[in-house]
Amino acid sequence: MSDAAALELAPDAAPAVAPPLLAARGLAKRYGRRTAMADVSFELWPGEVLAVVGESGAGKSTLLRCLSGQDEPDAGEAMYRRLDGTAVDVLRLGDVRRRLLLRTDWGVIHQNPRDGLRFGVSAGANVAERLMENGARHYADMRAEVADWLMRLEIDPERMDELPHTFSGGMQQRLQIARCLVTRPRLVFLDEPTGGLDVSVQARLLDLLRTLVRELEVAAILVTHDLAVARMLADRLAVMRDGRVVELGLTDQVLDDPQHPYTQLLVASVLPA
Amino acid sequence: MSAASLVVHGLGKTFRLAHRGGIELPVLSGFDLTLGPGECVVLIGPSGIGKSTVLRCVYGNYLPGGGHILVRHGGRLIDLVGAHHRTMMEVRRRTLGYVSQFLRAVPRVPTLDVVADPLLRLGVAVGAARARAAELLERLGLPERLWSLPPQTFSGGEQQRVNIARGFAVEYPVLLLDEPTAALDAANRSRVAALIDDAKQRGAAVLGIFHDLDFADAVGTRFLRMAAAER
Repeated sequence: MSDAAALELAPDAAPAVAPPLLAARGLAKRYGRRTAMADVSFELWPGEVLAVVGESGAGKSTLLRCLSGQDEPDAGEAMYRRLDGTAVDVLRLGDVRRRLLLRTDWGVIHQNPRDGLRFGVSAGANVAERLMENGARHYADMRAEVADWLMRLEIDPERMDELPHTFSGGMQQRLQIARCLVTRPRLVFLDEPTGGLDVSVQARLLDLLRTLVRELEVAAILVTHDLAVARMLADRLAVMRDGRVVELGLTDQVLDDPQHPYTQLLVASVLPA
Repeated sequence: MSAASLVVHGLGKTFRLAHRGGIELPVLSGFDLTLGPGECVVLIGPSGIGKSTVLRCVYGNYLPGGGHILVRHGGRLIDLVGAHHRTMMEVRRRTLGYVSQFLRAVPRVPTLDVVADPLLRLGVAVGAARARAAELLERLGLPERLWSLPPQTFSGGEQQRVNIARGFAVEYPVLLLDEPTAALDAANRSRVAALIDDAKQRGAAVLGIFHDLDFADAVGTRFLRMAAAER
């Protein structure tokens, strides 16, 4: 700080930063002889959206699956700060308690609505189910809340009793989001949420997600290969290659001034929109 | 001096292009600047000299190569070089406004909400945020029938006014303006000049790049000619 002090303008101490919601350290996963993920570390704060980008096979989905309890990493820890302020390593929580956490605190939104919805029950039941899992019992209240959430996701509540397969792809995806967010999770995992959708439907979904993330102050980890989606939704960007995070920073900084050779290539390869 | 809003000291920036044989492009070296409340400093110099790079380093979408960028944020002078991203995000939310030449907005979002967005991020209620957005769009002469439409289909000049309204929605203590009037006609330029004057009046510190010299003369309180970085 001696340069700045020469100006008689010594800066104040850096502001204190609250502890993160999730701190992942040294995550690793191998499938046979192939390294799917190695030495992945990052921190995530409440209300923050972290996008994980990279090409197919870079390890994005492995990371998401390992964190969300769909797969087991070989090494590393993921400290999660619960509502009461205590931190737990979710990777060593045990199946039952981890499933409980997934139900009460976390949510997963899959690329394919079929993986996140139950097609045998009505749209309304898909949303109500999550509420019931978290203890809701009063039928009329639940129905009102489900209707409210369908409206927030721009689904006509009149269609509450219809089966999901009668919905368009974009509506199914919005229904999945309603099912996930109705219990107000603190952390959401999004796996290519706009992946299978038409471009016009994507934009609408992106706008909805952005608004909901802000209103609910939910933290999110968003896996996508689409840099434009990342720019619209994410506060920060992690770039993965060969299972490693090669660059991590504020989204516009990583996209406008990429430091790592691979990020430079990735950014330079996209047609400007 | 102690009341400075922004102090840039010894700022350096070199771009390294890994896929062009590792070529290094030095753009800034030892760049200094002090900006106080109510001032509007205009950066001048030929294109490519690094004017926009200074603004982007301050806003943090370029990573500074060295030096210090001190910003008065909530009464404290904090160094943005090497700052935690949480601090950077908070400084952007409350203290630093940045208007670039081009509007970047989520498709399908109505103009009024594009402009209100920075206020909503600060926790301002939707009604109040939209009222402020409407006031700014009106001042900038954007016809009301356009407010409910997404700006993607607007003309260059209309988009630029939406971008300016968005950048001025929050009363940031420090404003970074990168050619905000490039696509505007004389009448609209003078509307923007009036907004900048109001910002100076309330004590904002403005750092700007303005291609149009008459405009720069009208709003600038000081000019800073940039020299080429040492290679």
